[in-house]
Amino acid sequence: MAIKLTEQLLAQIDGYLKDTLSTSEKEAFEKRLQNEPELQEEVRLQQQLFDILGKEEWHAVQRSEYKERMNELTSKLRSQEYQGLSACIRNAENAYLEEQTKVSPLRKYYRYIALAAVIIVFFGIYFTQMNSSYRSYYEQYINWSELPSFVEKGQDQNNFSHGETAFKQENYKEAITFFQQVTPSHEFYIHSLEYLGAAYDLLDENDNAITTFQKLANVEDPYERSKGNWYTAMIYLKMKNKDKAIGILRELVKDSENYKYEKARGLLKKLE
Amino acid sequence: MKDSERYINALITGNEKITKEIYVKLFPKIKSFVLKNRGDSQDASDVFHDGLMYIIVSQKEKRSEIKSFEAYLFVVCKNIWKKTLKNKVIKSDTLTLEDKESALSTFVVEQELFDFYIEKFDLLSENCKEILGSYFNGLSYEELLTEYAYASINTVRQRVFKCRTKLIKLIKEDKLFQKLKKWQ
Repeated sequence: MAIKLTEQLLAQIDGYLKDTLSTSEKEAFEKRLQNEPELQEEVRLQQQLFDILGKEEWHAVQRSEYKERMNELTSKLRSQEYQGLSACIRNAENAYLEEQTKVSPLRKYYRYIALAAVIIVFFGIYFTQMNSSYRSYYEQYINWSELPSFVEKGQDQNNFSHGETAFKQENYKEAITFFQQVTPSHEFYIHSLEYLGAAYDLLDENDNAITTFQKLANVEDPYERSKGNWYTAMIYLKMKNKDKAIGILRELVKDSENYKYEKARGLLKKLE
Repeated sequence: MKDSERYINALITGNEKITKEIYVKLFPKIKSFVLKNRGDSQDASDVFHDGLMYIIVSQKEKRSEIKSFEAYLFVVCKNIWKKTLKNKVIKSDTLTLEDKESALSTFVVEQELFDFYIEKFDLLSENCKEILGSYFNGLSYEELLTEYAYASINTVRQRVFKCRTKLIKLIKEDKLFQKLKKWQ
């Protein structure tokens, strides 16, 4: 780095950053900046020091400035490994939240709840035994808002991005028309199946949802295949078709690498 | 094994049980911070998730010792929330669909810079840290003079300059700085 950071130069940079230079000083400094990339770097460094060490608001990092790193990170975060770790955090959160809602009111009214429980067990056993709780498993395990997003600003629009946009705006019918047009050669084809199935599910077109998820269950990647099967099982639970759901879950628990393996095991125990 | 090590191991290997412990122990604190600062429970849960993801990304790339997991996660989450609030103000009218992963990558880069500068800043002497902290927070030389009882404005100015040059040197010497520059 050829520039020597004298006290005078630092004072100029500070003046420039704090906007305390006179008009002519500012013009002269900006002119220098244009011609000297090294000076630009110095200014950026000082700017970052002010942002981070001071309590001022941060200046947003420009995506264009760190493009290489950002791309590297984005593709990393989209990889199966990181999506899996992210899902693990979400699962832990759900488990935590479930516990929270259960524990706190319980303690206070323990006695009454115990009493109520006895009554419920007596009178409710016939009804709950049947099939009313299957749907609740579906509700517990399906959260379509967690589907990964692939739309980027400035990116070319295509059937996938149109579909995702429509999906996020809850125009599921429109989303379906777009996703149906995504061809198997598209880089996000697999994800389009997830979205398509989800959209059918949200419109309660269960048979279409199952057909779509079964397509996913036949792709090349075993992990994605297990996803397709897991979703299919969930739709069957929603439809209260316990036997079909159990059949699929039994397949899923054969390989611990499968999507939602732990969940599938737990669920299977409860269902059988 | 120390708590922080145990937590980091759990996060990078996807151990749901221990990750849940992190929620039990630390989520209430972050949540109350977000709620006090114009956020709702959904915001709190996103911030916490992203904070943990940042720790995963950075620790998987380069394992480093974190003295207090709790304090570190709190700083990271606070920064995420500050950023999110700022973006909310800018983008509130238009429907933007920046996807989760790109938003998180932007944050990761910013937090990496943050961690890097703070690490270097912490290597300075206590006196330097104090005086530079005040300076970067916008105190003038005159104000520093009264605050730290220096003999003259000139002494203050020299002191700030010396500390600042030292910090810049520490930053530029580090290989990571060269790498950060390459990304620009």
